[in-house]
Amino acid sequence: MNRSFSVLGSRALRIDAPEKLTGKALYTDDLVRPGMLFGALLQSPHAHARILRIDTSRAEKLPGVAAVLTAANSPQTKFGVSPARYDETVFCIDKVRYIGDEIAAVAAVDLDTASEAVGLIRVEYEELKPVLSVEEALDPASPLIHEMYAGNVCSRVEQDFGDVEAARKGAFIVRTDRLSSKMQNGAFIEPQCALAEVDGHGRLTLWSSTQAPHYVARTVAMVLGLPEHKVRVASPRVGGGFGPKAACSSMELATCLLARATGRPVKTTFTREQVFFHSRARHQFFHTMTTGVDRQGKLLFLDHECSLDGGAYASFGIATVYYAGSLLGAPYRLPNMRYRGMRVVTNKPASGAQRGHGGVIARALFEVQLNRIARELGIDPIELRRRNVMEAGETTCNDLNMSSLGMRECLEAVHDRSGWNDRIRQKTPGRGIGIGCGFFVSGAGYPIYRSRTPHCTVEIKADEAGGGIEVRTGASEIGQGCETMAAMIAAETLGIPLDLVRVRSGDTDLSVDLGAYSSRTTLMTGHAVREAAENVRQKILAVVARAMKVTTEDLSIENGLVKARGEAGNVAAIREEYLKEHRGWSGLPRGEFLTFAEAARLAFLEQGTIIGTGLYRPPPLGGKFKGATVGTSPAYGCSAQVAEVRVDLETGQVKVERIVAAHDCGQAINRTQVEGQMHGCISMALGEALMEEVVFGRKGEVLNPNLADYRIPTALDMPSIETIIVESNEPNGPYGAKEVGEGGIMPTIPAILNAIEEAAGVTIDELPVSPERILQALRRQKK
Amino acid sequence: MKRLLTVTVNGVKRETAVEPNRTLLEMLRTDLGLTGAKHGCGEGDCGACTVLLDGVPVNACLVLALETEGREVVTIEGIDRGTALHPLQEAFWEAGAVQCGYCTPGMILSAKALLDHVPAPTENDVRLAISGNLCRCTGYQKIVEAILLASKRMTGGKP
Amino acid sequence: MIERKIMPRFDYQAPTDLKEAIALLSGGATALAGGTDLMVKMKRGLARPHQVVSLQRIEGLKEIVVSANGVARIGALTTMAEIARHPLLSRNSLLALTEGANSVGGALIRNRATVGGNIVNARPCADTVAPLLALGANLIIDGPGGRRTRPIEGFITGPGKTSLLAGEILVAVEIPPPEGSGSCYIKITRRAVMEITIAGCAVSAALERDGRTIRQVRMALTSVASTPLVVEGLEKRFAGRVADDAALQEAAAMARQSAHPIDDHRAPAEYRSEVIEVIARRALRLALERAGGGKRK
Repeated sequence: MNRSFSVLGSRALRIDAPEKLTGKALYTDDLVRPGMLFGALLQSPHAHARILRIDTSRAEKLPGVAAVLTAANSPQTKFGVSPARYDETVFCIDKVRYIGDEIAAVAAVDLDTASEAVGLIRVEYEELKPVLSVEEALDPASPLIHEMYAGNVCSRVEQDFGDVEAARKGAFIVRTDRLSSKMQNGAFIEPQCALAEVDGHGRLTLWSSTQAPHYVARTVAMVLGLPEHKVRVASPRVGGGFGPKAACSSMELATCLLARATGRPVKTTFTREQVFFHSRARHQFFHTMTTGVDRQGKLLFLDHECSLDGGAYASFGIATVYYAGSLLGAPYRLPNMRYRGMRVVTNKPASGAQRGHGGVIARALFEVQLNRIARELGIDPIELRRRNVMEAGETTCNDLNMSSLGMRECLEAVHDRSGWNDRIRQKTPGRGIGIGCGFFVSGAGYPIYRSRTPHCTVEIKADEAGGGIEVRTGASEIGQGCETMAAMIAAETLGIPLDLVRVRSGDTDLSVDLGAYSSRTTLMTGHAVREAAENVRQKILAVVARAMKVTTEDLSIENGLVKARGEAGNVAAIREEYLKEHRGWSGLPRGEFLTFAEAARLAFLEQGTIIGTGLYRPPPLGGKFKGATVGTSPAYGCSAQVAEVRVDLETGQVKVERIVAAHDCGQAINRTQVEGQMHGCISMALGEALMEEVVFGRKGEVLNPNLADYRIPTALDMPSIETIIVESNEPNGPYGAKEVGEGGIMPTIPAILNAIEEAAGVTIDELPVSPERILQALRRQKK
Repeated sequence: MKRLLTVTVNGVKRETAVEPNRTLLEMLRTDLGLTGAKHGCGEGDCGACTVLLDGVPVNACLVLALETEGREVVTIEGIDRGTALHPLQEAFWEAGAVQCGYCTPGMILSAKALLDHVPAPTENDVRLAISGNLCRCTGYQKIVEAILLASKRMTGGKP
Repeated sequence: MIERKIMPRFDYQAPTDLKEAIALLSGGATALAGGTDLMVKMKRGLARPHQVVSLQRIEGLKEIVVSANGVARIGALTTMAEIARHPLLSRNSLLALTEGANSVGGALIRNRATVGGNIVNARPCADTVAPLLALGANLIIDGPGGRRTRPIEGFITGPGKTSLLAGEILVAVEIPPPEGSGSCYIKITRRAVMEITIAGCAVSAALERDGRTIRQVRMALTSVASTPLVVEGLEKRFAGRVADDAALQEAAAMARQSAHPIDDHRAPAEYRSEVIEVIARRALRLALERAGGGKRK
């Protein structure tokens, strides 16, 4: 695509890198506040039990302990993610629902004392039978985990689009396939951490490793009973989020309560083990899909059933069970779709949203099934997809509009770059090549709570002295690069060099921003940044136009220089005033064109501080059916990947040797960052495909709550990845941009599975792929 | 009871008093205010706490502070050249190897130790050298590119 | 209880003299070598020593020496990284040890983990122990009763248990001079590094001058029994036989027979049994190749 920008589409250097490279970047656990205390949590050792009695007296008496909190002396307000499913309280009141459920919190002068005090809290439990699987949850003989979830079902989805039964009659091939997965973990390298402090006016500041300051602030205010203006959430640098950090946690709330109770700052940090107990990560999914195609391989219908093991609380899970169905509506033409989804609660750590939110395992099965259909039809799996791919402008059967869709381009790009035609002909045992595709939202169409709030606002202030601008956004920089994205869009819109732009982010005092989830930031916050920058531009140029005796429309700013229809124009008086103000300075503007610094200074002199604001609110999106909101988005990114694998047919071990990936991000704001997101998506998916699994014992305990036994890919596990950026110029995105942070995870698992199926001639129905199951499948094959 | 410890950190002799059970990581972060080495897992599985101990990259969470008596520790804060970045830091920046940044200090120190001993490593050498440093954001690709780029520059551009 | 495990409070000593260390250990202190095992145990509340004695400053525990008669002596405090890259240990006959050492953890762990610690920690998954068993190594131990030497075979008596007496320290490992032999270590894990071995096999072998007949063979297995395990009777059965596919298959089956793995959350027993046979065959082939002076590594 040949669009010329001054800043966008480049490989501009990340603006937050210098501090991260030198150790100066501060993450929440690096923060120290005067008089700070340390928080520790008492967490349930039982998966399911009634609390009969809690005795904190010995803990309270331990020297150095400043406060001990339980449900008895804390708010019992219910909270959660979806207001219709607020099922959590800061501390367990009458029962515990998973190993790790928070019962009490202690603040003390140091961590050792706080931990010792936690050990002195005596709790009497009456153990209940733990419910540890979907089957057990649905068994009428099993105990109810929550009164509010009859039959332990937290959410049920029934959606019918078109007429699946009629379509079934006309199908040439109908096949049913299954895929199950395991609970997985976000495994961000920075464990959650929260530091809370109440000032002399009762205003609470919470610094937290969160990806949703706005939702956390609202929850803190609600639970603590504080007016919203008395709560500020600011995230310092955040070491990865990936979804699990997008909701307020008991740990954050407990830390706030401890700060209020002690009158001192309190910091609580998760151990790695606690990260696993907390989870709020990838659900366990059980998918069954029945798909029908005609003789040419055109998709006729999808009949899809899915169960989710949601763990002990709802968290994001209501959205998850909807996404698991809705994210199959594209990128192929699918006229008829039936979806039955169900999320149960169990006595395990709660699952929530994780990169690709609900759509990842579903996409894996659907793409693998397409390959199996292709095999039955005797056609190339990429060709099968070609026959079904949607085009931009089309709408899915579940009312998702593909305002832009570079799916075909992505498919062809990976087809060509991977040398697909040659590779697919080589039938070497133990070696295989596979294709996968996918798509994802660029921001959810609706916020989590019912409101017509703008999804984000942005404020840009031009320095009064003239020269720099400051972009102020509540957006959450979790490593994905949104600060740099915001700076680049502001620079591009204003026509100034990137180094004149500063960004402050992640603070609810700066603006409203729903946070870094559903891959929304580039499209939504980017849009608001553009609006705010344009606002600033207009205000400055209006003043300059008057001074230069031209109209605002005559003026442009290019690379930091003001031009009047390309010419320098009447700048003498402005320049003279600026130089007079700066007597004694060196390096003053001398060129023929007025500089942005002078223009901004003039605007300040005339009007005072120049501030521009912008906001983003999606248009009403989607259909009118129940759950229609989940899956709606102003735009959809899409991707295709080809994976080459080697399977050791004697040991079952799998090595991914090469991945070719294409992603349509609409318009790359920063090419390096787009590639980085693609790489990151692929590495997470590779881990989830081959090695990541939270393993539970018979009592509901996590057997591998550490990064030795919960394996994520190391540098030696990753193949080299070739990336191709496709730019379809999304009309609903700022400068044509849409998402890349999550969608790139969709094709990877199926590409790997398809390659393994070809390499080993086996059928995979369980994730993660394990060497032992490959050997079992090979043995079944021989029979 | 606390014991006096003398250790050279980033070229400067430091004296501090620590409990015997204090880890090097805790000492650096809390007693010396050097927060560049990070807490990621506490058990030597992630490498976010990597520091150089007498030039050798180790997990600071698995070293007792007192073990460093009389020895030299280098942290990420000791890598840059005052007003200029170390070539590794430059290369990480240019190559886009920094996302959330949490693994970055550890990665740079492991890479520095590699380049100090193997100035022109292969890609596999690089991946082996950072095999104990986990990253969840980058998929390692741009980190590997950055280290190879730095090595080229540091050896005067020879391939 | 789920609470943050606090590091125990202990006294710390770092003697430079071996006798002083022995005296402290005789008093009930716990030895600290590289810390990659003990530190994790202490953090998890599985070890609560009242006194920790670092062995790092003791003279003479880190040397690697190969004597004139070919005996390789490796100090107990030598790290995995030092073993993996040491030029004196890089010949075909000793590759099992360097490969074993090079497969422990990842780069950072290998810079601290010691061969002595790996042996004395005595886990069934210890990656230097099977190679040392296959190489017929001896252990040099010093203690209140003086210095003694004993074979590594039988030293580990159970998971985490050795026949070290109170106050004793493993000082060095000695590998007798193998002649013209080759060795190797192959292990199975899910990801490429940083992983407890699922199944491992070390082989040391020598061929007759004809390059086909087995003169000597010794095999030890990792993670398929409660201790690293020598495959009994292998040499008796195969010395003098031609190293053809049938022989290798038979030997691999013997390895499988001798293994008695358990299920755990890393892998099921059945898989370990199946795969130990595969890597036993591969390890034999590779060791014999190396014994024939064939391609290195």
